[in-house]
Amino acid sequence: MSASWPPRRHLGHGAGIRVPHFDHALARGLAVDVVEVLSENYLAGGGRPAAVLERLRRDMPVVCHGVSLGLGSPDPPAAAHLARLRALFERIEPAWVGDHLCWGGFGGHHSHDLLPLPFTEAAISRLVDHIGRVQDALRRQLVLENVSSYVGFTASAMPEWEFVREVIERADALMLLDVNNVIVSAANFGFDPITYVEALPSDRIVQLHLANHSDRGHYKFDSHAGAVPAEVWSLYDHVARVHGPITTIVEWDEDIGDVEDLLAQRRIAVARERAIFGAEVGPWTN
Amino acid sequence: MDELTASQVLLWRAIRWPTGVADFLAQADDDTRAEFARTFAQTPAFDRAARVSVYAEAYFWRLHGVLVDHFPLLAALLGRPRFHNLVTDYVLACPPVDPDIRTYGARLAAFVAAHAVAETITDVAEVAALDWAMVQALDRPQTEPLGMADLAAVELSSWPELRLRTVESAALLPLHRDPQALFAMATGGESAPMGSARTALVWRAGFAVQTRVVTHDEARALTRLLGGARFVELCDDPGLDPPTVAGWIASWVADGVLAGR
Repeated sequence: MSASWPPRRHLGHGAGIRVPHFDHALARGLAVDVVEVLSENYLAGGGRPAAVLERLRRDMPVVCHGVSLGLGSPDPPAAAHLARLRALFERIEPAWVGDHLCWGGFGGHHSHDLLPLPFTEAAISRLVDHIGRVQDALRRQLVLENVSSYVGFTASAMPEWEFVREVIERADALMLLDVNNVIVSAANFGFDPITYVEALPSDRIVQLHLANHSDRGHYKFDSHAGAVPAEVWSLYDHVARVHGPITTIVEWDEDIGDVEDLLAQRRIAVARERAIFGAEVGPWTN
Repeated sequence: MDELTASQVLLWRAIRWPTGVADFLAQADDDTRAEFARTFAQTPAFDRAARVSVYAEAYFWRLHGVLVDHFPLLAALLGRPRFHNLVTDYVLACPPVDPDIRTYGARLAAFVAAHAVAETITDVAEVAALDWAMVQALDRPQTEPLGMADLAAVELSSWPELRLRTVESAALLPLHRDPQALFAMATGGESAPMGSARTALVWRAGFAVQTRVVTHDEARALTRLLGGARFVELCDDPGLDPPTVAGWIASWVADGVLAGR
């Protein structure tokens, strides 16, 4: 397949490493092109987490993905927390860093969840303001992920894909497109996932997430428990055809089994990308 | 308050209501119920209360999960129903204040000390503190341990002024149960009865967190060591003599309790 894609760093295909993978990673490394770590797991800076991170960083590019910024919360992220994140990023020099397009706390308390926002101009303005503050504090452009949602707001004035695009472009941020989250939210709100992914700005997407979800009858839940399902793979193929080859991370957070199960999912992602673009498409880090 | 923040505050109140979103709406006044209906969208198969409940469930169970992971000894000591009730009370009384969820258990030992469960299990806070000390030891910064060769290189004349220090993960805790029995209880359902007062030393050697009971004399010496005492001050105790202290130092070096200089 030949096409002209926007220039982007392609780090290859990797996996999100979680605590049950630590022993394997320390002893044998990880057979991937790139690894994604949850930033908050490494803030303390010592012990086995730090050793794992240092080992992986020696072997390959690392991307830091956070869950704690709550960028759409009424208050911006605390300076002390940003300082801790910045120290981590300066220590390991990740390829890029990011978090989610959501909110998470109020009045000094944290939900530790990725809470949904109404798709309004007010929410865009707040996100753009907070993202700007964080990018200034961290001295890095953020890579921001679309979240799975379960409740919508009557005040929403645009579809999610327009909201995401507006925030990413106005904040001059980059995007992590979570393919599974699109499938989950599409089921929960009744929109077409193809419409969603085709509306996103190709030149801003630098990373993809693949994961599993649970079918709870009247809704889908972003469980990350198990192998990537067929409909996620199918949308992944479509994203590749529309936006080109993109750094891809497979996530598996619940019911974590053998690390080989995770690596097998990553190999499927490699094979599917190569089936579309040919074997010459591989990791490059220009 | 602007409209965006008002909608967030409403979601926040609903997902943190102690008995769930349905109860939140049942006890709410008519204005709140109307605002809830005006704010959140729904579909015939998935109403707005059920949709918001997904977040309410996630809020509690995520916090419950991190406490289960971090307090296995406390959970085993209390048993599942009492631990669940304690966690429920803690989540209500102590909402998370740190963006890093791994610190959520920091206040649990103090909380349980004042909780009704401490009236029947009087040392329950000690067990919670032991769990938390082990969590903290896990990812404290790595310090190179002191080796026997380092110690042997110290001039005899320098020993009185020698100021040894522990690895950063080291902590002393009061305990009325055998920690090994507590571990067996957590993994195999054995009992870990209360006994006499003792002191537990927690530290990390390599990547493994270690725990052992120390004698009262050794605990006094370690307390002084943690306070920055010199060797001569460690020995300045009517119950101790330099050879005994030297013996402990040798065992601390062997166990990786002391940090390199």
